Amino acid sequence: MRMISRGILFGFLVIILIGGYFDFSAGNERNRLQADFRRLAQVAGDVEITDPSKVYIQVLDTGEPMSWAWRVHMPAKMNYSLSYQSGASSGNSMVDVDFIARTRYRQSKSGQLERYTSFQGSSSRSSSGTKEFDEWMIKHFNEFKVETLSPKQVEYEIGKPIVLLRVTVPESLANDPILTNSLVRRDGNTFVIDDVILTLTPQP
Amino acid sequence: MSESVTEAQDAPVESMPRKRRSVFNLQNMLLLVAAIGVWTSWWFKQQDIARLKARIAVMRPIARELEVDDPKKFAVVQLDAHWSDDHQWDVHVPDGKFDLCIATRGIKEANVPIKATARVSIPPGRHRLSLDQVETDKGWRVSVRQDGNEILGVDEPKEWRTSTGSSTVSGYAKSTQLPTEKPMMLMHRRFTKTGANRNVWNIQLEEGVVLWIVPEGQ
Repeated sequence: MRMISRGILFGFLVIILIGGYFDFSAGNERNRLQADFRRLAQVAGDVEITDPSKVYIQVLDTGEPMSWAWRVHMPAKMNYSLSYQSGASSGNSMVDVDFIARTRYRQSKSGQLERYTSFQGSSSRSSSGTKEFDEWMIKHFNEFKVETLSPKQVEYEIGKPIVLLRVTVPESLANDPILTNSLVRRDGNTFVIDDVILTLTPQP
Repeated sequence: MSESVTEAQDAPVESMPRKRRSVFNLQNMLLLVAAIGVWTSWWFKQQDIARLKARIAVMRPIARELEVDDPKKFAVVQLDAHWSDDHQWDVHVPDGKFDLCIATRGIKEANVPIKATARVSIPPGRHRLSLDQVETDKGWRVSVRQDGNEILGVDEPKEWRTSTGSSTVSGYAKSTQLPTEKPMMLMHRRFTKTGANRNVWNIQLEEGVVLWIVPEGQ
């Protein structure tokens, strides 16, 4: 009987020691993967695609002024159209794709304010207007009202326009004479500096 | 008093019933709980690991992260552009002697070997390479930076680039490993000009920028 009891004790100890070793190793691997995940999430966001047939968009922190980025998951067999202040682009995808879309403003060496947009491999660059207007934009950019997607929402409906970015002139600047002479689009009483709107529609 | 003690000592010893020790005693129960706990903890960690691996596998290509499975081969990934003409790559150069080459003239089709305008030795290991093409007072400066420091540069006159169009072949949006025997082409760009009639849209010029890594002397 004593032998059986010792055998059971020995068996349990072996099971616990082996389990402890595996558990410790798994803990180390999990910690390493969590560190990798956090590092990658800073660049690519941390959207969990639970249903690949849906649209997921997450606004990313670029850490730079006048620069915005979004992590996009576009389902398969989708047509897209992207409209923005200075143009539009369109395309389609036969398979589901994940990528980072960007809109960025930058002052060129010549003092012009240039705008850059990239979306699913295609990009465009444009300048916004006259030098005088560019200087006004650069001076007041921090005062503009900037709206982008909520960080809390990641799932979006197919077929409905998604406003990725909307930059408007605040009321305090709306009476500036430079605006009345500019080509800035007017939406009611609001001057719209830029609006990036994405529309996804399923392919027939 | 002493008699009774003696009697007790002399009395025949009755066989006491042996106390059977059950396998379900407290010690074994505690060990069982510890064993279940340790393996349950391992099982939950395995679930987390599988979930993290799946999510990381999706994130790596989006983040354009360089993956080196075979350190004896080249590895390359082109970084996500933050501006037009923003060309950056993370590369792994295996042990050995390799040159980073640039050509700005005499450029043919992507698969045709060309003579380097300038070349420099690139040490083994992981590097971030970036290509800049800047207009200067005298013309153009095409330069390559390795980990932030300029290691290669070519100056060209204004006539070098009079056209606005170009045709560029540059891949590696996903981390890729390549054998070292062949040149690893990072970018192949030829300037183009609009054709004189409708039948010829773009004429490919021999000026442009080609950037590649080859074994030393090749």
